[in-house]
Amino acid sequence: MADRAQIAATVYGILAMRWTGRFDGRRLDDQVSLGSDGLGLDSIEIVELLLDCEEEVGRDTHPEELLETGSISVGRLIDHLARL
Amino acid sequence: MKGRLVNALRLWAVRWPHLAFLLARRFAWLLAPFNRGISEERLAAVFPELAPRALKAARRRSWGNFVQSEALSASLQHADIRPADPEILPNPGLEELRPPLILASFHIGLFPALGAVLVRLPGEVLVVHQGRFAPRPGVKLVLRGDDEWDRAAAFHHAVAGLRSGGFVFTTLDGGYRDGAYEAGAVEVPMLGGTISLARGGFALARITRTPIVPLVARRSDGGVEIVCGQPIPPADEEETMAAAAARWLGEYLSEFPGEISRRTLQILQPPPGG
Repeated sequence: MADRAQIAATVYGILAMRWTGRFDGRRLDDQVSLGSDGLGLDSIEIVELLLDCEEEVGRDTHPEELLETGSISVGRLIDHLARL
Repeated sequence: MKGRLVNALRLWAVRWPHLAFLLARRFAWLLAPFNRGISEERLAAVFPELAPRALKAARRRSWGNFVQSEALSASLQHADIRPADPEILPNPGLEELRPPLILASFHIGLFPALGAVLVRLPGEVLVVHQGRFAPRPGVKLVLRGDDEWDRAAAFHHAVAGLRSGGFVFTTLDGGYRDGAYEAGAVEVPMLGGTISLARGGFALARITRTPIVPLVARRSDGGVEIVCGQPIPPADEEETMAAAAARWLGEYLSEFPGEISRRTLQILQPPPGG
């Protein structure tokens, strides 16, 4: 189990770095969805985020398990990574 | 009448795929004189250099491709029936392809015939598709999906497939609905106008640093000819790769204008006045 707060900082850091300025003025918290009903990332961007997280975490994060379940929020992504 | 006949052909193709595929060719030939296919006017807007005779030949060719593609596609809808694979002519270039590689096609020519080629590739093949491919040994099918989550899952499968050293087959004009692509487009010059291509294949190449090889199928007298383009190297900019793909497609269609399809016309903006 990884430290959730540390993982959360990593995920929010990637969102801010990869899409600088894109989420300004929008709600950015654990509840918001990554997809069209939230941050508005498209399918390619969602995968790029998951791959970035994998690289930062430094091990296989099994993104396919997360994607199988459909809609992913920021919090669900953090929980998934923190459980590894 | 045309609609009824094509529908009948599709029904036959489900039960008797091989017979329907053979009939499709005859059927296309019989109806060709009745202005079937992409109109010469529309073709002239894309290929202004073509003489009336060449435009007529291209129209007939587009009609033949449409009818035979319909028969092939219909035969793929029932997984328990062996699809009507046409005779694929030998192509040494195809056998020299080595994974990891992105095989990228367009909905032109005899597109559904490409399924029969994938089993010949030396390696695992993952096909990201929209239901126009039948299950085959050594070929894993992944549906493109209807929302961003399904599409993300399919895209991730493709990334994983390439990273494990396989082939990924996809289309550069797939996922086009209601005048737009589902996951973003790249607009690049082609045939003096602008073509809109789906981002997916180029993003896949950029992320996995894998080359793209254009691949299309064309009817010929002895069967189906498979044409492979030169590999397009991966680049940081998707536009760079898209421009190379469009250049290849433009040159191919200039040489074989009858291979163009209604899909191509949907995504191609001819030059002003064209």
